[in-house]
Amino acid sequence: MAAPSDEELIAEYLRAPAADRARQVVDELFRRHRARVIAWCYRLTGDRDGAADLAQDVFVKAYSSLRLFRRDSKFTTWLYVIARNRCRDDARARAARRREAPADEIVEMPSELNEALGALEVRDARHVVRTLMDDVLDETERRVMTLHYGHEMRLDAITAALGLTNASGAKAYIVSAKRKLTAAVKRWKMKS
Amino acid sequence: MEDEVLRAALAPTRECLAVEALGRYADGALGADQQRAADRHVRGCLACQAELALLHGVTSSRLRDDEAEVIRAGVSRLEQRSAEIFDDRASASAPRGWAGAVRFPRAAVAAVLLLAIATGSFFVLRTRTTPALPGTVTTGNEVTRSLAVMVRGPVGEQTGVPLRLEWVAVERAARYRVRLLEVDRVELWSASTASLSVDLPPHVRTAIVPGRTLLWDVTAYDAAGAAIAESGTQSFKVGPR
Repeated sequence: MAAPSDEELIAEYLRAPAADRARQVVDELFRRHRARVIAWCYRLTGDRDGAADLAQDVFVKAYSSLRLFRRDSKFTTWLYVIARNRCRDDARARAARRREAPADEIVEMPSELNEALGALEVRDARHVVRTLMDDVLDETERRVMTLHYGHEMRLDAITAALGLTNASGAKAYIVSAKRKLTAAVKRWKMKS
Repeated sequence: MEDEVLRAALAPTRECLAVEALGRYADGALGADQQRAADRHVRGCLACQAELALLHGVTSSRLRDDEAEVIRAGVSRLEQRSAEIFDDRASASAPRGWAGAVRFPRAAVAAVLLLAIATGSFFVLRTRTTPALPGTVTTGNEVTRSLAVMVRGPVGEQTGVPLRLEWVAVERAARYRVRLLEVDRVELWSASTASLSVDLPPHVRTAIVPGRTLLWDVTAYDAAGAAIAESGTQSFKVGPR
């Protein structure tokens, strides 16, 4: 007979069985997903040493919230959301502690892109940047740029999360994207 | 200023879906109206598209070379850590055992334990003296998974018909059972091996045609024949030629 699904186990847990059985159920969920959650935490942060720490936090949160799980979505998605939020909080806390971007985050911007963007109001720049990104960047470049600047993810984390296999990972996509954006800005300035 | 402009241009807006909602959207778990509204928004939103790509990229089961050791060490550490936390509860003066790396403040640990006591169900309540839980979650063959089987591939869209199915070693595994399934989970072919890959025989490969999605999974067994780890269902499809 096939093993019960995660959702079936949680349904059993929610039927308030005896404490021993409830413990078996959550222990089974832990055994099923611990490797996966460690992998996720590593991919979301790029931090080999911190992944287990974060996974522990994820399980603490998951087990304390298990009764809030809505069974219309997958348990693994629910668990991922907890991991994503925890890893994002961790990244923000680290950034706040450092009060500066880590060395690998600094990617020199081509000066023409600097000048063009710097001369715009933020609201206009938002529109221009998005339009140009749609026009000239490929899908991976758009995602890397958005994750780095929009979601404030470290480059090594983006490399791990998206499974980028080129030598310099996400950084190469940022450099390439900015080069393309610079050329696009030139054309845009000539038109306007 | 320039980085600020880029951040402002690419940051999520108030209209963007929270990660929770995006996860439910990805599962198709929103109501029909909400699903349609979310779909419209996501199609035009770089921030939500990136968040969705992150969800898919991170939760992909394909294991990369640099990850196997992180996971193996992490699983071991996580087990040790939970035991240390229980010991800490039992004896507040006991030293923390894993190189002082426990990051939880004592108050947080206490809060977790109180919550655990309240629910009577938290896994970390086991102490070292508690016997290991019997594998009664399943009937028949007992399943006590120590580690998920992480697959190497094929996963996702393929440029050609795969030659073999590959995965990563599981500690204590003596052999692996591999199944290739139709999308309705009807078994097409299966094999048992002690290796970390299995070649697809020619008659199976001819059944793998462009555009047809197939599923596969791996179960690891120890020397006694007990299932100790599962990969979960993987899927792949050969793209159009």
